[in-house]
Amino acid sequence: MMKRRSLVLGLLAGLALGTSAQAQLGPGKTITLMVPYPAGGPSDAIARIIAPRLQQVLGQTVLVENLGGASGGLAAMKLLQTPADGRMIFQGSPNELILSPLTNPDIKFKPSQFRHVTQITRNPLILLARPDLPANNIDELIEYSRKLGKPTPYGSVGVGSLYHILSEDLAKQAGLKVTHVPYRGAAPMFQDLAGGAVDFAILPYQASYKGLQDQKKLKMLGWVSEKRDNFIPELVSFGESRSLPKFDHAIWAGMFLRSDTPDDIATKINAAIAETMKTPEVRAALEKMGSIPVDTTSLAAAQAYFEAEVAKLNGMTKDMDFKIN
Amino acid sequence: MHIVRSPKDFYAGLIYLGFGLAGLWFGAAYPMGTAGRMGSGYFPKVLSGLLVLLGLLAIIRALRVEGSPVGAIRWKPLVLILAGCSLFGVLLQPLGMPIALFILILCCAMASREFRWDPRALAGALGMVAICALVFIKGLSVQMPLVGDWLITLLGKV
Amino acid sequence: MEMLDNLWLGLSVAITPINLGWCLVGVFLGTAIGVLPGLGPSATIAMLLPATFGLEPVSALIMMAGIFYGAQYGGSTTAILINLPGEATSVVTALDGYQMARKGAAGRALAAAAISSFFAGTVCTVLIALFAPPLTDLAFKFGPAEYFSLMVLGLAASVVLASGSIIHALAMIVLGLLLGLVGTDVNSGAQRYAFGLPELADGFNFVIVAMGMFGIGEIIANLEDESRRDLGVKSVKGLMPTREDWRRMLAPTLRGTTLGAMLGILPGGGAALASFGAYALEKRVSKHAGELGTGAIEGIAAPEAANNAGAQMSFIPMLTLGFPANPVMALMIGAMIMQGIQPGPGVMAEQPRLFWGLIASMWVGNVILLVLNLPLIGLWVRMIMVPYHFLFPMIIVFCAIGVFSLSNNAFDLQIMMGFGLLGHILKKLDCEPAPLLLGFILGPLMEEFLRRSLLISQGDPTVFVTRPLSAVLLALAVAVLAMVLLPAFSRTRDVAFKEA
Repeated sequence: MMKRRSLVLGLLAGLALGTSAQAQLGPGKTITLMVPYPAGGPSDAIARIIAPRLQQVLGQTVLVENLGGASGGLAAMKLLQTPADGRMIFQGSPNELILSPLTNPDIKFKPSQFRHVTQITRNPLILLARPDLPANNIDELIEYSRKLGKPTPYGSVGVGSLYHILSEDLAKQAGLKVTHVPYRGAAPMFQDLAGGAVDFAILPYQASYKGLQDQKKLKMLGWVSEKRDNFIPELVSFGESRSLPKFDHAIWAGMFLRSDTPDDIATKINAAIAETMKTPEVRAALEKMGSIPVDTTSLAAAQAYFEAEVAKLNGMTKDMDFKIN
Repeated sequence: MHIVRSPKDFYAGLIYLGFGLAGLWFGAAYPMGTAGRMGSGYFPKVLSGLLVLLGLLAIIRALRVEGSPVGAIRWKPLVLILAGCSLFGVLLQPLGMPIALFILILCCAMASREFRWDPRALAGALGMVAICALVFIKGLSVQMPLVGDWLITLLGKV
Repeated sequence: MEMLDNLWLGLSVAITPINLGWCLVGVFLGTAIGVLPGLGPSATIAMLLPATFGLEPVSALIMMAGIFYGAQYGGSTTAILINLPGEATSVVTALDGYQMARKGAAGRALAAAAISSFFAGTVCTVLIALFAPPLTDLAFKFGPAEYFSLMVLGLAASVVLASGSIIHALAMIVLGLLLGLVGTDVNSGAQRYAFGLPELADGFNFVIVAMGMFGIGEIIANLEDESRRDLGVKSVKGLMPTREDWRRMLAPTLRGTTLGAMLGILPGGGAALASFGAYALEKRVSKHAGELGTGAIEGIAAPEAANNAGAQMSFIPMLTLGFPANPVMALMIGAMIMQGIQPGPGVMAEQPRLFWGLIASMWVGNVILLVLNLPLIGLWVRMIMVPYHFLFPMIIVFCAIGVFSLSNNAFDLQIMMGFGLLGHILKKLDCEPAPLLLGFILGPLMEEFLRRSLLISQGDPTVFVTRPLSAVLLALAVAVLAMVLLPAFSRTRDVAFKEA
């Protein structure tokens, strides 16, 4: 009996030799970095920059796993099904963890089921307009929209996306009438923005915007923040406007665990991410992608930030009577 | 003389009718909106309605026009192959890819009339599993477990 | 001649031994994964992405482009040999290709696909080199209203795809449209027919539906029916097209290339229509229209040319503006960013070697595809002569692994099983899956564009006729429908009279 069992064990070990995460026995041997989108997207790219360095720092194999679907909801649900032992780190953003459960009734988790370990990157947002719009900054856009006499159409990458909510909030604060035109992601939206079908959109900064503006394919109206950003210092910010000087938002990504993960494990992962994010190569690679690496904060600060974001987005969606029909 | 003259048309009509009615039933709660500002229910309801209509047309046709009978169904390959695919999905995570794949191949092989319990066929199946593990997991790094979660826990307790 | 200088520069980049080597690797890999059902180019490129960081940017992009069009070609190979279209674009190739294969003419079918693809690829490479920027601007003339009208035209044309009764053709299209609606509604964000399953939030993946309806459904049918076994391929007559074949391929290839090139410019779903449209066109204008569906070479040459032309043209918005027309283009843009190159209008001026090198490599890649695949035809043909009871478990295994690899989700296998069952039942009832798949592709797009147009026009439906391009497309759709429906109705009336 003993012999047979060891034979089976030996066979399995042979199969498992030097292979994937699941193959190593015993808890805590390998770490899965869960990316809630298919391989090849921007968040996958971030994970693949971070994973090799994180592996060195932790001295454990770190594998990137991609599970797309339901705007990141499927991956978040998978995290909640694994044990709270820190072996699965979720690389997420407000889009998956806060907004997805708010907008999709089939997503049953709540943001409070996640523990924020630390922020890793931040992307500044930009207000874009169609190339022939008779407005060059946010003040002029508001003036144009008021005079239009009908709702101003604006594009977003999807219902319930951060950009949808921010645009609605912008319209509400400025007292504008707008029509939300949702798209399947940024590519088709750009097509219609450049073609002049929609008037404006809020999107994260990309280096190609400048060239597109020169080609008269779109127009940049300003940074969605109080201060100008170094990527294009000559572009004005909302902070300089008369109408919305306090309108300051950005999209960020961070690392998450299950909320019931023990403190010592969370602390260890927080320290490892901090070490990883200090590496110059990692920072340089992230900056190349147009993301700003964010210095790691303490666990408590990270959690407080996450909770503040949850409260903020909850408030914004509640105030605007945000509902799906 | 049967009332149904064209069984193929008749059953196809029933399927259209079934999908159409299901579409209407499950889509009942989706808001219609107006023609100018369509709700999420507009397309589903219009399409389901069309399908019901086409289903009825097909059934009427089946009663009026002569057609060929439906061929007999052989249940063995149907059930075995569908079950094999389904089992592969269910067993992949708990047992790992090699075992799940072996079960899938076994199901497929049993569906064939040529199937015999032959050591060479068994070796072929094992070889196939090994090749797939090498090509897909090692070569193309498809994210499948070699050893399943369930096995790991089981072995961990030994 | 600046253009010649540019092309010369591009060629000099593309035919350096190292880039030629990567092009070969890409095309070969692409063909291989195209032949393996389920594994698509975007999954493969995504997996290989990290490995390309070590390469020079031009080499990396040349290889990825090679994977893209190699996979397009490989997908047609399985469509012809085992009736398993791996890509939306090869669904129609399966219609006549598989029939030819069953008649023992698989070699000629594969050769026809390779040659017409090569022709279309060559023409489109030249078009891109000469007219990329103006063609980009043309695409912006297409707003949501125009796209909607185009979809209507596509749908109208697709009715001719079906060879059987008009009721069943319409019903299969409508069923496809309905199945296409499953998941998140883009316009409202609401979940439709998702039954509380987050796995269905993104709808059914086309590849899974095709694997189930064509792949699994076909295998069960073959196992059921002894006479269908071994694909009926006992002897293969000739691997190369006959003189007659060449003559019959010429016009369809030209028509397919033209249509594919026009539709391929439109990033919002134009390429998906290309092969369907080309087939429908042949059914109307070809001298051999009556043979289509029973294994006519026109039914391979036209859609293959259209499909490859569309694929080549879909590079345009990516090259000129950095707008991805499909997931593979999005990955290539991602790769550029990771390489430190900013995709967008600047690429042409700032990175002429990359820009022209990539364009020239497309033609080089098409040559490689032809050189690689013509000799391989003999091998493929021998493969389907393998006894069926060895072949079919392999097909199922590849389908299963491929479907899983699409999004690493085991639930997708249950969906494939469901569509396998549906496909089998529909096959038993002589309902053709091709119109269903077209409806499945067009359904969500059509709804999206219709509702978006109305949203932007504040609910005014006249946009579809007041915008000239849209009005022309709609008028065409009406004309096509009239042409298809009127004779069909008079025919059924004739039948009814005869039987009465």
